[in-house]
Formats: sequence, C-alpha cells, structure tokens
Amino acid sequence: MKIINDHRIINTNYPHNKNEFSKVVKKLYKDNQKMIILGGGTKAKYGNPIDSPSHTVFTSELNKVIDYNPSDLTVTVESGMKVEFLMNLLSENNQYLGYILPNKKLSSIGGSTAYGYSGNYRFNDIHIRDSIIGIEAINYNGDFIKSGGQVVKNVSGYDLHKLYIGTQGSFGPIYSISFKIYPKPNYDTRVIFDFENYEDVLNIIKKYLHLNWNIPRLSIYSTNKFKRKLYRLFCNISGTKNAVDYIKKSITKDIKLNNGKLEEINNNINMSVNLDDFGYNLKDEQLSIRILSSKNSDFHHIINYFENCKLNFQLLVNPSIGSISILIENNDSILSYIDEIAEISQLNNYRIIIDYVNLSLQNKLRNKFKNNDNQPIKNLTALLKKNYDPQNLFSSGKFI
Amino acid sequence: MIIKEHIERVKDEVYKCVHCGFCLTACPTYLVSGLETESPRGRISLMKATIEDQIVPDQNTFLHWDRCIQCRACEPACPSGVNYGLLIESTKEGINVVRSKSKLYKFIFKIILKLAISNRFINFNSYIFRIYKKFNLSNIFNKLKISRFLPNSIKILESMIPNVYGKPLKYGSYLTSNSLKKEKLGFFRGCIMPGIHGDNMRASVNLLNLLGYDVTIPESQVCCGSLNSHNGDMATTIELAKSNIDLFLKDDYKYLIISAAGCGTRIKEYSQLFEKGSEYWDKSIQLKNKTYDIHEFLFENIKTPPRGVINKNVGYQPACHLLNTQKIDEPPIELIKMVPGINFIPIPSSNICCGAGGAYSVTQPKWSKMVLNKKINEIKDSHLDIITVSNPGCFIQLQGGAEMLKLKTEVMYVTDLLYNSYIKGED
Amino acid sequence: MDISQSLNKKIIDIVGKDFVFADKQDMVVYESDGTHDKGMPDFVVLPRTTEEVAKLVLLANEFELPIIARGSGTGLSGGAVPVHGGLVISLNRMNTIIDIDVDSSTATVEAGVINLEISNKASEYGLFYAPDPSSQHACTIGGNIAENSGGPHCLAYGVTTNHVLAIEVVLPDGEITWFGDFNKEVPGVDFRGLFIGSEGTFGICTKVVVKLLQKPQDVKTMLIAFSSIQDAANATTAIIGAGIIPAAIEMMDKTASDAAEEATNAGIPKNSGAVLLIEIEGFESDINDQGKLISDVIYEFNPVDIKIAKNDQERDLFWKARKGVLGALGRIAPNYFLVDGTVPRTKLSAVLSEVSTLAKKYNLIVANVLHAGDGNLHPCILFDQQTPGDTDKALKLGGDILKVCVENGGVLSGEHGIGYEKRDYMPLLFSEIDLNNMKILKNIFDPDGLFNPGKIFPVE
Repeated sequence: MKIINDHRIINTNYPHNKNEFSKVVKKLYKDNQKMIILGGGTKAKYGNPIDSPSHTVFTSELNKVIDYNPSDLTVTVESGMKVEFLMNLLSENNQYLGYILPNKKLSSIGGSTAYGYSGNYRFNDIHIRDSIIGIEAINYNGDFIKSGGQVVKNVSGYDLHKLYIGTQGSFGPIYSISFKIYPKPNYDTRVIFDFENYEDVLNIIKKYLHLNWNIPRLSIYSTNKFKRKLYRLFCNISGTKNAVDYIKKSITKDIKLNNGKLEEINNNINMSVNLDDFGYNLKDEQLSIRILSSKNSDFHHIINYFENCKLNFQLLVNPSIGSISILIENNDSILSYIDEIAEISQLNNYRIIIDYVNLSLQNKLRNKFKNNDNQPIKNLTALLKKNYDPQNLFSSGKFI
Repeated sequence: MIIKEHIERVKDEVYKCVHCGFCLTACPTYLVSGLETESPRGRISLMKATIEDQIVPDQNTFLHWDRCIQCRACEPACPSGVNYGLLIESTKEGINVVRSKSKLYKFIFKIILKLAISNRFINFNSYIFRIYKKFNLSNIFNKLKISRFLPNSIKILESMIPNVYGKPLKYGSYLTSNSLKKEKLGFFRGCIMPGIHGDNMRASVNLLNLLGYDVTIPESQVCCGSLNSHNGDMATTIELAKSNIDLFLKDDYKYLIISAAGCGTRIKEYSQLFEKGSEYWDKSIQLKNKTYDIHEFLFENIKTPPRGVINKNVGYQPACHLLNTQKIDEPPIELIKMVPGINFIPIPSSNICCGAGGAYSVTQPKWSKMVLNKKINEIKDSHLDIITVSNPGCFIQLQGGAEMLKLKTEVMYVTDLLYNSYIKGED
Repeated sequence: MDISQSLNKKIIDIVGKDFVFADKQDMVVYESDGTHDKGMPDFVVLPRTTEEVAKLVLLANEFELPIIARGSGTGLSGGAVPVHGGLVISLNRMNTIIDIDVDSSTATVEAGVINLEISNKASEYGLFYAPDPSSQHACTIGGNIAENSGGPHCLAYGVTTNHVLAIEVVLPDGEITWFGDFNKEVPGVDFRGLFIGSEGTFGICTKVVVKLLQKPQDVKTMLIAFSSIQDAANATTAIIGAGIIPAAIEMMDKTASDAAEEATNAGIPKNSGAVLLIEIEGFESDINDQGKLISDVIYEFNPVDIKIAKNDQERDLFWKARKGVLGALGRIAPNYFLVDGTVPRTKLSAVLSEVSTLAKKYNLIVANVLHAGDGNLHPCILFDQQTPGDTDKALKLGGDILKVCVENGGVLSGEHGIGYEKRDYMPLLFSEIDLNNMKILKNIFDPDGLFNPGKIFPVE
C-alpha cells in the first residue's frame, strides 16, 4: 500500500484517454470501490481528509487541448492539463483566463476547478465559478454528461456544470472544461507601498475598490516576522499604457496623502512574498486558513487578533475578494488559538476554510469550524450526493 | 355584440400589438397596482379576446377599460407603434352604446355631458366652488360632522373641489400695447379653466400680448369634445368639432392658441373623426396646421427672455396630452429655464400621469387618488419649491394632492412662472 | 362548496381579495408572455411578501396545483405561460428596493423590481446594474434570474449569473432559504448558480442581492453601416479577434434596422445591408485609441457610413432603436418567432448565410438582430398567425435554424431560455443521458413536478 500526501492509496490508475477514464470510473464504481481523482495532487491535503483507503485515478495523462480558436475567446481542455501549460498556450495568443490560479506549475485545471479558488489576482472580479462555461463530467455509470458548451452565452438547459466547481470531486470526475477567456491587457505593472498604520492603507483600498478600474490585485500583506509593524500594499494595475499611467499616478498621489511610502524608498525590510501562491507549497508544520466575509469587510478584528497573539503568522488581506489568507507556523498551543479565531469569526459572520493542514491536525480541526449552512441547503446537498453518487464513493468524506 | 363590433373596426390596430410588455411601466394604473388587467397590454388582450370570442365582456371587463386614464404614455413606449388612443376610444364608444341601453344611465350621462359642455353651467359651478372655498365650507361640514354620513366616493369628490384664482376670464378681444404689432390670434378658452383659473389665463393672454399679438376669445366657440369622445359619445364630438372648425378656420385668426393640453390634442386630432378626403377631414387638417399649444408657441416666438430673478428649485410635471400625443416635451422646460435664477430639478417619473385625466378624477376617484399619491410622494422626495404644470387638469389634481398630503411645494403654471418673471423684470 | 371555490377562499385568506383573479374573463391577460404561446391559469395571485409566497406554495402542494412564477411577462420562450394551468404567482407587487449598500457595492431588492429601476436608484451613487436585457425598462429582476438573462452590454460585463450574489428562494416544499453569498468562493455546492437560469422549475426567487458597478468614465457609441450582413459579421469577428472587447457589439440586418428607424427616427442609414452598434467605455484616452483601432479593423469590410453619437440623447436614441427593434417588427407582420441561438463567434458569418438560404426556402421574411459580439443570434421569423399554415412554417424554419446553430458548435438559447417554445429541440443538443442527469436535478428540487411543468424537457 502506497501513501501519497498522507492518503493511503490502494491502487493507482492513469487513464490515457477519454474512454479509458470512463471505463476505470465505471469499473471502480461497479466494484464498490472508493475513489479519489487527482490531477497534480497538490490539494490532496486541502479541506477535509478523505475516507481512506481509496483508489486514486490520476488525470495527468489527460492533458490535451480539445478546442481552441483564439478568435472565439473560448478554450476547451482536458482536466489533467497543468495550469501553467494552459496559461502559456493562451499567452501565445495574447490571451489569459483573467485570474492566476495558484500553484500553476503543479496544479491541474481539473483540480483547480474542483477546488474553486482562483487566487488573489482577478481582472474585473472574474473567478473560476464565473468563467467556466461548460464541463463534460463522468457519472457513476461511466457515462459522459455534458453541460454548458463552448459559447459565452448559453441558457440551454440547467447549469449542471456548477455542480462540479468547488465541490472537490464529490459528484464525480471531470473530463473536460470550457473557459471563457479574455485578451490580455497590453500593459501590466505592479506598485508596492508600505504603511505603518492599517487605517491608512484601508483608506486607499476603500477608494479604489469600487472603481471599475483594472486593478486586478489590491492586497495587503502583514507579518510579525519583523520587529516593526508594517503593512505592505501590493497593487497590480493593467490595461492600456495610458490607463495604467493614469491609475498609477492617482494611487501614488493618494498614498502620499495617507502616509504611505513607495517600497523602493523603504526597502530596508526584505519581504519576499510569492503572492500568486500565497498559502500553497507549505511545509508540514505550517497551517493555512482562509477567512471569508459575507459583506465588504476590512477584517480589522482578525488583524487585531493576530497582532496581539503569540503565533507566527503571515497574512494577506484581499478586500476585493472578501477574503483574508493566513499562514500560521504550527505550534503546540495552536488549537487553543484556533478556538478564539473561530469565536471571532462566528461573531463577525466570517466563514473559515482550512486550506492546508497536516493530517494529524486535520481531524482535530474538523469539528472546530461549524458548517453554518442552513437546513434546506444541507438537505439539498445530501440529496445531490445521494443521487449523483448513490454509493458514496466519489471523494468520500472530503466535503460532505 | 356591440362592443365586439366596435373593437373589430380597429382590428388591424389590435393585431399590431405583439404583447412585448414594453408599455407596462409607462402605464400609471399598472404602476400603482401591478395588475396586468390595468395595463395597456392587458386592455388590448381583453379586446383581442373579445373579437376572438374568447370572452364576452361584462361589467367587470368594462371596469378595466374604464380605469384607463387615457394619458397615452403607452404610445411612445410602444415599439410596434400601436395607436392605443384609437383602440380605447373605439372600445369606450362601444361601452357607451351598451350602457346607454339603460335608460337611467342614458339620462344621467346625457345630462352630465350636456352640462359639461355648457358654458353657463361651468360658470355657475365656478361660482359655487368660489363660495365653497371662500367660506371654507369644507371645514364647517367637518365641524358639523356632516361628512361622516357621506359615502366615501362623495368624500373624495368633495376633497377635489378646486381652489379658485381670480375673476373669470371674459370673452372678447385683448389688444397688445406692443408697438411691434403682429397678427391676430384666436384663443381657445377650454371649459373649467376660465371660471376658476381666471388669473392664470389672463397671464397667458398677457404673455401673448407682450409678444405683440392681439388675442381674441370668441364667444361662439364650443367645447372641444374630448370629454365626449373619452366617454365614447362620438356623435356629439363630431357636432362640436364641426362647429369649432368652422369658427377658427376664419381668416380673423392667423393661429389658434390652446392652453389646455387635452383640448389641444382633441383639436389636433379632429381629422380622426372624419372620413379621409371628406370636406371636414380637409378642414380639420387645415385647422391642425395653425393650431399651437401655448408652450410651443411661446417657445418658438419669445425673442427677449424675462429678466426678473426667481431663485427657486423648480420641477415640471408635463401634461400627458402635451407629452404623449402632441409630443411637446422640451418647450415648457426651456421656458422654465429662461427664467433667471431658476434651478431646474427633473422629477423621477415625470413622464407618468398624475391621475387627472380630464373627467377621470371624477369617474374613477379611487384610482385617480392612487396614481396621485405616488406622484405627490415623488415630488416630496425631490425637495422642490415649485412644481410647474402645463395644463389645468394637472394643476387642479396636483393642487388637491398637495393640500391633502401637506406638501410644501407650490403648484404653478409654467406660464405664470414666466409671466411673473416678466413682471418682476419690468420693475 | 367545490374544491375550486374552497381553494379560492384559501388564496384570498393569504393575499386579500383584491389580488386574486379566478375569473377567466380577467385571466386571459395572464395567458401569454412575449411569445405567441398560450395557457389559461386556474388562478392568478399577486402576493406582497415572501411569507405569502411560501403559504401559496404550501397551498398549491396541498391541492396539487402547478405553480408558475411570473414577472412582467416579457419573456421570449413561453417561460411564464401556464401550459398546464395552475396557480400563476405574479411577483409585480414585490417591487421594493430594500437596500443599496454603497460600501459593498450591492443592492438588495425584491424579485418584482424592474431591472432598470435598480440602475436608476443606484445612479445617485454613481453605480449601475450591468446586465441590460432589451426589455430592461419593463422586465423584473426575478424574471432575469429565472432565464439568466443577457443583454447588449453582457459582451463586456457577463450575464445575470455573473452579477447576482445571493437569492432568497421559496423552495417547492415551501421552505424559505438564501442561496449564495457576497463572497463567491464559499465552499460547497453553488446553489445560487444552479438556480439562476432554472426557468422557474426549482422554486420561486423572492429577493435578490446584486452586484453594482461604478459607471464608466466615458462612453462612445458608434453606428456603422455595411453593404452586406456578411461584411458586418466578419467585421465583428475581426474586432474581437484583434483583442478588443467593446462594451457591446450589436447588429441589425436591413429588415430590422429599417423597422427600427421607422419606429424611432434614430438616424440609422436606410437600406444598409446591416448596421453595427458598437459601444466602448473607459478612460477618454483609451476610448479614442480603441475607436481608432476599431475603425482600422472594420475598414477592410467596406463600411458605408459611420455615425458617432454626439451626445447622451443621440446615444439613447441609438439604443432605443436597437432595444425596441422586436416590437418595431410588428410594423411588418403581426407575429414573430424569435430564435435565440448562440454560436462560436467565428461561425457568425457562415451561420447567417445559412439562415438566409433557409428563409428563402421557406419563403418567409427573417429579420436578423444579433448580440454579435457574443455570437448570439436573434433571427426573427415574421409571419401572420391568421394566414393558415404560416405558424407551422415559421416554427419549422425556427427548428431548422437551431439545427444549423448546433451543427456549428452552438447552442439552442443564449439568453431567453428553453421554456415551452424550444423544449422539443433539446435533443438536438443534449443526449438522453444528459437530459436524464438534468431530470435528476429537477427531481431533487421539485420531486412532485409542480413547478412550471411542461418547460425545458421535451415531451416524451
């Protein structure tokens, strides 16, 4: 028996084509075998642990482009394709997805879809739930189910593909995915500013959040790794050169009014942060959580809490997405802190997602964060699972 | 099937409607009720169902048609170009024929319409109103608790008795003192306006004099006939139309000026009453070509704007029969903007009727009030000093609403505002 | 007292007698929507609150009465037509804009609020609601949710589902719940996404939280006439291919643009083979650059006339012409069958020429109106219901056009929904397995099949 990412694996499969994929799934299901579908395997530790042992079906051999005509501004690919491959392919034609999926070298398109998180770079507030226009999935009979299509506007039949985005494989494997894509802005620039006061940086954020300007990233990074308190504002601006210059000038002016400093002037502190992959590629002793807000929030309760606790943390506030990603160095008393974070979150109506945690903690944390879905949603979710996976074999325990 | 016959006459127009629903939110009765039966599309559906024998219209069906204010805001909203005015008038004519089979109804209706177009009765009425308001009889009735015993509909009617402004406007000629003397104008007096809005009408006449026109208000003019045609009495309408056509086509009058939008629409649409190519059809077209609403006439002829400064926030509620049928939208607003110091603030749904609709406020008091309430609340939210109007019906309706809902905004004719500024500027 | 009378009484107990229709004499006005499909309701009721809706749903369950939600009835797929009778729940009285949250740029509204009213109200804060169906001044947001409506500006902004954050729904069992969240990445099943576009078959949406956007700094609207529809289609593909995504690229062929011009006098050059209405938004400098780029790209396709809106009034007039064009076609024929196929943008020209061949074959006039930028075609088949045989001919031609769309990699409906009108074409696009999987979803939400029966799925 193999162990991959803490999961006990009893068998692995590498289907090479569409038909093999469906045959494998059909056979495993017929034999009543629990299974997990992995692309790059990078998110196996994310979320709840699956009920192991499980069969693993790797999609890494399913990495072909099914349809791509750049003038249509749509692309259809097999689910095992690596994110970076797709990004490069689009880039050759000056196109992109509109967001940067994390961990692009290792992650697959299918895995990113199943996880449903689009990273903290978003052009025009586009995210993966919005930009997927069609999916071909496989049901427990091994049949292919088509939903949506390769056109950008489509209301033919139910949007069944929504069922597969962000549900971590619970309703069956994804074979192919169609995306709506965008021309890449011909200019993209990044400015970085440092602030000593959280209020100051929030003033900037509040102003620019609501303008429909192309500011795909507006994130605040903070950590207690250093003795000084510092908030670093990362700001990506894209568009035509004129537009980018205009926005940059406007932001720079406002920042000076709000006591911010250009990072180059203040570069005595060396913070190297990989923003695209923030919260990914972690070491076993690290823990990554995301806190989501149900309305526009500055998360100041969370910021306050972390600045006054003894945990080693790095955090990235993404007000435009309504989330804050927190990376915590695991220590012995983490569980007691987690209780407090859970309490603050509950009081402020935040939701907590455990992005990454090692297996020993995973089981303990599982019950800390209550699923606050209401009863009708719980009932409907259970019915969906029962109907699309009657024997509870797909990603069992992962999500439902 | 009298109704069916009447609708079938305009069948082609009925089938122009593709029921897209674009008219819904232009219709005041739909907006206050949300009921498809009280919308233009709904009313046309009922007509269609009638000619297709899907329904046999009954008293209840009549109600849906009766509740139409005939503001005709649905016409500019209609991409198919359905002539809704024609449809509803034809249908109502049918209803009228059906109803007039009831002898009592026929009797009452005849009296009302006869009275409505009788100058003497109107003058008498305006004196009654004057006395009623002057001695504040409303208050006395209230104190005596008489109103308790009155039915609701009478109470609503009582609350609608209009204020009276100045002495009635007399027939005759009003000569200009302006040295640049121009042509002679005929002035259409309208029915209720000269009696109760004498001051305001004099202002209109004065404005025309200021521009150098001699104004004549001939005594032989008769009612335009719109009350009759709105209620389906086409025979009388035609009679009245002929009389007015003959009078105003005379060379004595270079132009015919009208200060009531409903009369204006009726007179400009006289040709619909006659067969195409007939004598009176020709004549009615000739008359139409020299007929102007006072606002469009002033707007085209004012060369020297007034100079008296009026520092107020002013809004404008267009008359439906200026906006939707005569398509006169900008001229009144431009006139308001001519006045120095005015801050013009458009009110949100100005293109929606206030619920006055000629006799509508009397025939459908409940619906008229529902539509009015919505309008007054919007005016309230716009924080205006003055809401201007371009038609006596709107004036009376808004004035009533303003009093009832204790609105601080003053209701005023566009022409009064303009005239005030001229007077002020002379000092 | 028979069943219908006792039911009538119970309905009146919930909403009051002024807001119930049970007489066929009245209910004829609720028989159809924007299409020529018809169905007589058993009752029409206009509730004021979500709780009233929930009570009505429970009542309908008790009496096994079909439930059909209705907004303004401007739909173009027969979606709100009670083809099996039942209880029509008209949401037009639930028309309050509950809240505009400027900080979060969201608006919370009742389902019966008119689409354009949201933007009107939000404009006080410089905000607007982006999806703009042509009927936006009449259609309700609830109807937009049911059909996942689009509109001209969806080219740049995306459709309804991209702008609706959360919805309150009454489920078929009478339960009231919220789907969705301000945060779009809350883990779990995206019930919001599944519900939007379900055409009233999963329940009734009663409240909506929409995203608002900041109004663009500057807008430029161009009306470009071409000598043929092929040129206009190829120009569209070339613009998109050049990496420009304007806010909107709309197309009207000769028949459509002449009718629109007659209805509005907007200044569309008569007798053009086709016109494109292109709108670009953004910073002034960007707009000028983009405008130039577009002019360069279209130059190859022999434009015969280019008009640029001089001011807001002229811009509004251009749009009035475009948005009212369907009604304007009423001037040519009393009935139309509107096709709503979407094809990959590169296939536009090929598909349009097949449409014109088919129209000739059937000897019917087809006016083409397109959200060209999105590849969304609206061939509008004109006919007269009163001419025997014409209706069947028009429907058949519609089916053939849809076949052409699907053969070219397209779909049956881009923004109007399948509804009653297109249900029998579903097998063109979906296999039996696909359809069965959709039925599973339907059964999960509505096991008794009372919600908007007779829609979406083909008759077996």
